[in-house]
Amino acid sequence: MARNLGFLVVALLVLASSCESAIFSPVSDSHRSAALELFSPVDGSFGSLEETYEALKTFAVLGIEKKPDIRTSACASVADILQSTSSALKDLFHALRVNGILRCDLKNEAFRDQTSVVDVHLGDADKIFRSIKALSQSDGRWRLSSNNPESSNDAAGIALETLAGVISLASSEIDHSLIATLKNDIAKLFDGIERYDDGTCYFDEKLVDARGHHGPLSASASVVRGITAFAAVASESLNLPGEKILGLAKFFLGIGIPGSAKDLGSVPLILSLPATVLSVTKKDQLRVRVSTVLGSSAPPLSVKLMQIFISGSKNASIIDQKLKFDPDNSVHVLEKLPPNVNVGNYIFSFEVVFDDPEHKKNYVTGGRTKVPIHFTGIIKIDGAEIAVLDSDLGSIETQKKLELPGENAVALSANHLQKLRLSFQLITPAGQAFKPHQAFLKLRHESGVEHIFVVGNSGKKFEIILDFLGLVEKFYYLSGSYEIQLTIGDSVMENSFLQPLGHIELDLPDAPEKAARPPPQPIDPYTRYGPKAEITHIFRAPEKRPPRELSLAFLGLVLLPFFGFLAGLVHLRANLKIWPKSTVPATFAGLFHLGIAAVLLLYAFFWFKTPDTELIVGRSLGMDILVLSIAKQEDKKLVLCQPTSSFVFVALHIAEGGPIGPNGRPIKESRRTTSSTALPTFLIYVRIRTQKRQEKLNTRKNKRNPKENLRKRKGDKRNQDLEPSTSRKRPRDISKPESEDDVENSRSLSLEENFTFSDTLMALRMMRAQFPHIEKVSVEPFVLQSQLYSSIKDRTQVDRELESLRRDKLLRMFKLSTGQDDHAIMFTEDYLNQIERVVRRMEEKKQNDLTVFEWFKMHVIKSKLDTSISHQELVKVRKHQNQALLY
Amino acid sequence: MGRSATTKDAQALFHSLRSAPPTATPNNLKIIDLYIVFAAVTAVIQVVYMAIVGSFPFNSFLSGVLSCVGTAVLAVSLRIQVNKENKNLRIYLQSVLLLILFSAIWYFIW
Repeated sequence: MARNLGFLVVALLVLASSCESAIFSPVSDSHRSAALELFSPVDGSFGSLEETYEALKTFAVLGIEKKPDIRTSACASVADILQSTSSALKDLFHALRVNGILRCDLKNEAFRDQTSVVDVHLGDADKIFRSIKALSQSDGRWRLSSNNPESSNDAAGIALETLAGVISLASSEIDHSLIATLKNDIAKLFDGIERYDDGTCYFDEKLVDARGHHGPLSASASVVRGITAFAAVASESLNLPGEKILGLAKFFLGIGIPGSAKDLGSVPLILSLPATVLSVTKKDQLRVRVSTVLGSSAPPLSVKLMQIFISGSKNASIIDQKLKFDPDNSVHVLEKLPPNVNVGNYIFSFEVVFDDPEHKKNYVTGGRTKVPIHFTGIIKIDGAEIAVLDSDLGSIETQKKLELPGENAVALSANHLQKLRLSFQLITPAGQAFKPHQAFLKLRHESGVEHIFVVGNSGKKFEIILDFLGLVEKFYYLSGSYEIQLTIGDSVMENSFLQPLGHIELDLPDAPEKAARPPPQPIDPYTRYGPKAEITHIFRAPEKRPPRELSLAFLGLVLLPFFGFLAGLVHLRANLKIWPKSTVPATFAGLFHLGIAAVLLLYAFFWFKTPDTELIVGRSLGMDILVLSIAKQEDKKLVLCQPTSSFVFVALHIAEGGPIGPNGRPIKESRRTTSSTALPTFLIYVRIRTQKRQEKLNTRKNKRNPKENLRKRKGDKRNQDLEPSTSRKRPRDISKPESEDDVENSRSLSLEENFTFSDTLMALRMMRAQFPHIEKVSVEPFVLQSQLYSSIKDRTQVDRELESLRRDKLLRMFKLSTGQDDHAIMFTEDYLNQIERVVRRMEEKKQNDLTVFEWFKMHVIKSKLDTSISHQELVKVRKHQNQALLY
Repeated sequence: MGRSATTKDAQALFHSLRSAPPTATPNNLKIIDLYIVFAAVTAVIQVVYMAIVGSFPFNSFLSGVLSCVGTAVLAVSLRIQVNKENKNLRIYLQSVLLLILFSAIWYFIW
């Protein structure tokens, strides 16, 4: 097997280096150098003995003389293994094989132990032989085991090799009848050989068994090995058909393997040609070489050219011409080509004749050898011309001569009533007409549509006539320029070409509606997937502006009539001093002029503060509303402008609260616009933060709570948000009665606060005001939370605002005992009043423990804000208080 | 021939305008006339500017010229109604003024 592998590797390598087709060349130097390259020793040895054996065997088979010098190292390792008593059987096997090739000088002592092992003689060789023979099949193939019914050629090879071994080891002579049947089997095996047309023979392997499929190569090698082994031990000649031996040798050569078919009884001789493509023009000579498979020279013989077949036809011309032997190069040369050989493909039939008839016994030639040979040559192109003909008369309108092959650039024009004619002649070097494999005329439209026509030949002349009238449909009615391209090519034509001839301008009629559209041309994948052209942005060119001086001059010119107008007014002594005396007209007049001034002011704002200005134009109630909101980042001013029927109302509403919503948050954009569109009164609403107003408010706050001012200065926004509520809370925190002034102040403040308060508080106040006052029932007003929910859309907002109000101790919430999840909301103020009222009533009833109310009012209400206060909490508060008292 | 006639007509017109006694047309009509002329001249100047330079900010040009022309037209209508010679029209000066002002404001807003 290992040997087989080595051959396989060589085969693959050789296959890669040179690919021979039908011509079998003997093993050449290229094979040998490849083998030398493959088996190159590292540090003077091949590693394992198995590899060494493969290398040595390959060298021996290929007949390589210049072996790498590995003898000493290999012999040393062989001696080592043979001397050691503990060597594995496999190593011993390889060592002996290597020794068989190298024939090392081993000391006899080293062998002594081993010889006893080797010297085994099979006592009952006949029995073993029979048992192996039992596996053979009637067609010559063998089975691998008695259990396996499938037979194979591979198994036959193995069996033959084994039987050869059995014969060699047999102590007594094997029964002749057995060997005779075995020979018969081998003959049958060769009957089942497969053949190629070129004489190659091989053993095919159809069986696919558990060992994997063995291809023809493996099967053939196995059979050849088996037969070789058998032939070596068998005393009689095998009488194998020489033709088949040669076929096997060719098979191995054809796939690059130099099979050892030489040992099959007779040496096959391989007839090979260094070149099978010969140029007639260059007058190449036909050379034939005859050698053995491994390339060694053949015995004296002569080669005869027997027959010449013209490829593709059955005609054969019989020639009996002997080739002249050139002893220098050891080739046989055909000095003069037969006269009927021309440019083209031929099959030459050679026969090898031995000078000494004795050689016939030892060598196999395989009868006649057929070799395909190609004769090439330069084809002369004559009388090439292209013409446009008139259809009716056939008269030539334009005619151009062409130089082929060569540069041509004809320019023709034709309409659909005319014809195009192209004609030429092809002449071989021998002066005969030549018919190329390909002769095409191609017309290619600008849009990429191509039409290909085959140029036919009539006798010697090649001619094509394109009648455009019949071709308009095929041309898709595409008028315009068509490129003409001529292709003439053949494998034996040395000057094959594909050339543009020029172009023809076709004037075809317009396409009717039902005409077929030209097929879409295949898109070049590069244009589809390749990089696109870089995008360059083209910007609009800036408008041409007039010179500055001109514009300014015209500005002055435009103003001039106005001054003229004023001057005219003065000249006419117009009365400009009319100003109404009475109040109402005077107000309206003032408002009118103020309105105009405001509009102009807006224009001015718009002009000077364009980046900070948003212009919102909306519509409401079918009238235009111009909302100019001049928004600066810090100070937002909201301006609503609406023209009324005859003039513009201008109202400046200056408010500190202004668009700032509850808790000091600015009104959201959406809310502002909706309110503006929903407002039925049309005002120009300008909110300007005036310093004066600010100061007034500040002083008022300062008077009440200087701490808040401090807090405000810190700039804490949250504190600012809570600011109004804390200021409200304060008067109620103080238990002592307030001064009258303060009360008044707080009242006016509460009015103002009404603008700025949260919706929840507003709703609460309104509901409180609506609480029924009944004389006899002494309950302070309270509001249910569910009421609040129903009156304000956003429940989350209600919850949030209630929570903040509760934290501010403005409200108190009570769980109701109605069982529903509802709460009563009471203002802290009212709650305190209620307590007072209860206390008063209890005083009337003369109850003593009233201090608890006072204590509750003083300590619990302030600190405990939840709806329920637990007992533990109350105890804790009490304790703290006691401790505080102690200290 | 015809051209000389028109120039003659124009000359005659200017002469009559100049020689007309100042009292012939009431002062308020003169003011309105003046206003019309002012508006028309302003419009003409803008058109000339456009002809020379080009109408690049076309919106500006359009608004400028049309506002001038519009006010001139409105002023002409005011003049017709104010003119006492058109006695067939029943005119209340106040309402006419209001109307004109209103239309002027609408005109500018649009």
